[in-house]
Amino acid sequence: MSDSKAPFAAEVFQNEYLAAGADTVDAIVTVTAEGSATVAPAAAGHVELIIVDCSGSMDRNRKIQAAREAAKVAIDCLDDGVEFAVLAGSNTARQVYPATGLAVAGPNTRQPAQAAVDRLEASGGTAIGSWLHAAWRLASSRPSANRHAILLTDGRNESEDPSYLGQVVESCRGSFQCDCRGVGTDWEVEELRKIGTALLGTVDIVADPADLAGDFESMIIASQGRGIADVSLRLWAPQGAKLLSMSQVAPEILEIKSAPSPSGPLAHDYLLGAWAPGDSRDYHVRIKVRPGNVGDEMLCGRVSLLLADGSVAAQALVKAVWTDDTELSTRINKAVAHYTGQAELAAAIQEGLAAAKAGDDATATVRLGKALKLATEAGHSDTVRLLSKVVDPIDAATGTVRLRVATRADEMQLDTRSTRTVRLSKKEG
Amino acid sequence: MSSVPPAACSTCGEALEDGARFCEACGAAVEGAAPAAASPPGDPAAATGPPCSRCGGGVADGYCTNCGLRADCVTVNDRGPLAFATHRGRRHHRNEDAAALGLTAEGYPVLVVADGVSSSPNPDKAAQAATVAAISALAGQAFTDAALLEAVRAAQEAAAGVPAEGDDAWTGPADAAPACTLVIVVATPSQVHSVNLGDARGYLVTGPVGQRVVCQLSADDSIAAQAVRAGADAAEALAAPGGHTITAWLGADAPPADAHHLVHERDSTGAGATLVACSDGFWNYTLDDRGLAAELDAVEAGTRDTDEGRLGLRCKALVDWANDQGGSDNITVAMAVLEGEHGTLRAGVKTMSACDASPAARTMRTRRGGQ
Repeated sequence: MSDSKAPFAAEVFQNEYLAAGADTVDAIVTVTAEGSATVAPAAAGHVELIIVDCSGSMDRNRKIQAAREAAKVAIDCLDDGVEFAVLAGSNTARQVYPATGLAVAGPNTRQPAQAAVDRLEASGGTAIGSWLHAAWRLASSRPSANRHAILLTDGRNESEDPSYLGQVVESCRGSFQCDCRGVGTDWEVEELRKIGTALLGTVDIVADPADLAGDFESMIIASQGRGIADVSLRLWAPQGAKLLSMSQVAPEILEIKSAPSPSGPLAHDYLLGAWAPGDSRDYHVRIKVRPGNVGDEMLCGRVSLLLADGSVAAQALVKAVWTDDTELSTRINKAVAHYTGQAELAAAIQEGLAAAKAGDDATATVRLGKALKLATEAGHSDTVRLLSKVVDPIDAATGTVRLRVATRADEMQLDTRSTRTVRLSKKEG
Repeated sequence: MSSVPPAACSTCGEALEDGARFCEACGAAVEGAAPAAASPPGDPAAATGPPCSRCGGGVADGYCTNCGLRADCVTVNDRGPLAFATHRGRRHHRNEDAAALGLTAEGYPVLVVADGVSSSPNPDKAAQAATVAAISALAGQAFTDAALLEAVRAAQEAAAGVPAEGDDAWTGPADAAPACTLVIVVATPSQVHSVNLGDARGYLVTGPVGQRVVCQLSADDSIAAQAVRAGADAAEALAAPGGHTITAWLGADAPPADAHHLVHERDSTGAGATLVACSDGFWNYTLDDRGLAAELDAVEAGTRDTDEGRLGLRCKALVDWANDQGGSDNITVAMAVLEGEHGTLRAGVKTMSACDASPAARTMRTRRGGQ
């Protein structure tokens, strides 16, 4: 049952039976924002920041032209009333429109903004930390709004101290969400992945600059659809328990960082960012507890979904029951097994690609072959397709493959999408 | 459902205290009593109810907010000279035992224990129904053999009337019937009466600490008991496979069987007498009656005479002990002090005689169907 105050549902999938002395509990928690029109009160405002790489290399392959087009399309898609700014990034960040602060999207501002974008020129280096810092200053001026940024780059972060980017990313956590796009193939997947993970945004490659406009349009529309701002997940575990891991596993694998919860020392809060009605995400929780006696039942984890105002929108319980019935304790919950397999798949892809890059073809063949086997078994057809551009399947069932001479773009696409997961039909969960 | 709880117990008719959720006389739940406050939504879950028995933390939603264990206390009902404790044990998910305490019109103590048969649907409801029927037929009534027979008959009828539907934990055939065992023990000044069907037991324990005499009052209806009556060794018979299978019980599909009505004469020893009724989840761990005596000595040593509710504490200590031995079944122990250790007489008792250590001087059989 949902009402306008509680638009979320949370469900737990697990085998709660543990053998005597066993101490580790695994569970999948599915969180769904109800897809109804009555939704939590809309955030106090919405902020969109468009950060465009204007380094010298953008002059090649019509990248800067495509970036101008994409930014103009994004401005067109802004809803009236959304506050926005366009930043040009090189060795520093420069505000393109408005001159300072934020503008309110409307008939009076879109055209001047697009005219300013048309004057973007490519020159200079790439210092992404400084771009994020500028975005942070703008986002912080509207702390209760739904705050989102698009970051476009075409190259590596070469123009600043590498540790600076890490520091800025950490300080931006929770200030705004950032979707990252790399155009062409000269940028580092790992760099953007770190930003996307910390700032709760997606990462993807746009190999052909002509596709940028469509991608920006999708991102703006999606962001404006996420009307439930600043959702967080509170995880309580009992005294003596240790949270071994807590990560998002669907729609993609994402590490999420916790902060100590104001509700007490036994709980941790995870920022989940903004949600749209209908969004559904899966989380994997692994908790280590003090084993009980056979027959004991324990609440190992209480998952609470919190809205921006701190109210609880949904709760789910992760339990353990100790038994000496081995038929019960050796069962593996299908959802848990599925996502364990998906995590293995993502790791196999990333390790395989890293090995190929380092010239270790033998390891790359084994790991990517394993990935193909896992993806085929899971019915992950998207990943099978991406893998097939990088390896030649000799026998998908056993994971025997041969490395192809793949384009850099295909490898990077496989890399950025390696964390995307498929969902299990929950009827069996 | 009325929001005003009744003034008198619907089971035995005794007056109820305001706001009581359980009847003081027979222990039955009061119909329409307000349930324990539900924990309000919010975070962290607000604690309600008694604290966790393992770590003392607050309990919310049935789980401890500190150690996370399911709040799972031993249920203790203490009426001074009568008390019982019951718990689901360590293996069973649900407590299917039931117990009740009462006094006849003359003031004779009555203990009732029923043990739901796990291999039947709604065994907990069968045990509850049988117990409530038995105690309401005896509590506050004049005590006669006829009253005792009527109590058994009423219990059989009540158990047989429990529907099989509605048990979420039942995975067996749809035509199975709820079933339970039953033992009723009553002590008059000169006798102890025991009536049982199945393997719930009654005992009389007399004598001072260290020199206790344990007398089993009831006669098990089990494969092992049959073997013993045919000459087998008791320990071997109980250890043999299927030894614990019961041969008589209460329920719509019970085989025609007479309840064992056994009467024991007793004298006052001046050194204490205690009436005990228990389910097999307890006595299975005592192996022989000597074991029961030793455990009674131990729990008595653990509670001081001045402790309030000491009989309830002793019952709970026996339940805890059985759990420590393994707790493989539901555990219920009910006790009534007939005579204090220093020979003080219980009010209403005129003379007492010693228990005859060998079973029954006189036996009578009851007939099903209320003849």
